[in-house]
Amino acid sequence: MRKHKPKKNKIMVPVASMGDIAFLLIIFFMVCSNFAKNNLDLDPPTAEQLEKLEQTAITVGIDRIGRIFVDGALHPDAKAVEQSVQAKIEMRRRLLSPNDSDDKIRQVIFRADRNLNRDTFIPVMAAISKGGGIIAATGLEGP
Amino acid sequence: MRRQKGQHAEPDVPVSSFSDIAFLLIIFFILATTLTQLRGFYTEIPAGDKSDAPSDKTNVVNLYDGNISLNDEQLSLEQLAQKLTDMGLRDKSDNDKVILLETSGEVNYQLYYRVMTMITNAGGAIAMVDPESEE
Repeated sequence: MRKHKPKKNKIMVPVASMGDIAFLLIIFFMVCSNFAKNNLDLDPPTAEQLEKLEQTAITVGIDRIGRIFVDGALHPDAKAVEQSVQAKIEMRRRLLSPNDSDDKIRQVIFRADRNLNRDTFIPVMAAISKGGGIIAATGLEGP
Repeated sequence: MRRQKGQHAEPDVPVSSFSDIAFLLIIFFILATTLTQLRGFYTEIPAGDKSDAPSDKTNVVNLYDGNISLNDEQLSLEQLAQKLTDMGLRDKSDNDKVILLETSGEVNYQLYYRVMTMITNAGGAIAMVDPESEE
């Protein structure tokens, strides 16, 4: 008598929910993303005991050859930075909710190359202050 | 002659490629995401020239050609941090918290940044002297 081979059940991988999982992951990454406004060519300064900064602010940066950028746009000098910061703060005051604190509205992330001389970065920092900004100076934790 | 009604086919939206598109988007966002946290310090700097200094009692940190002095006493970075801590700036009134930060000669941003961090961490308020306003 011939033996019947038992029929093997095909293994099914449930793929119906894969699309949903994928879209959830997309939403997660979109929420977590901080698209760099201006990837500047600079070597940041280091210091100890730095605190965490919020990134919901205007960004002013000076790259290693001394070019000044405000939110990625090239600015010719400190005076232009002052006007730009002032205008952006005014715009943020109008756009952001009244519940946001004034300090938060006035925050300006400042990034500069560690080797820049004082004649380059001090006028820009002074311009941010004159424009009404609170400087959030970024750097790396280290000796 | 009676016309037979044509059978309407159910419209099908092709969804089989949705998950592929979704995964491509995930890869894009993974590559484009920066999850690093910015670190630094907040400071509100009253900019001005020397004539704006609050009073003669104001503490002055001077950076000149890589050297550091506090009220004309030359110090190392560690000594400056200790002196600033010893001043107890946190408990002082707003005017007495002010440290005037002057520069002359060659001073790079690294040194300036470290000194600003020290003043801020000690509870002081920085008043910078803009070299352009000195001229």
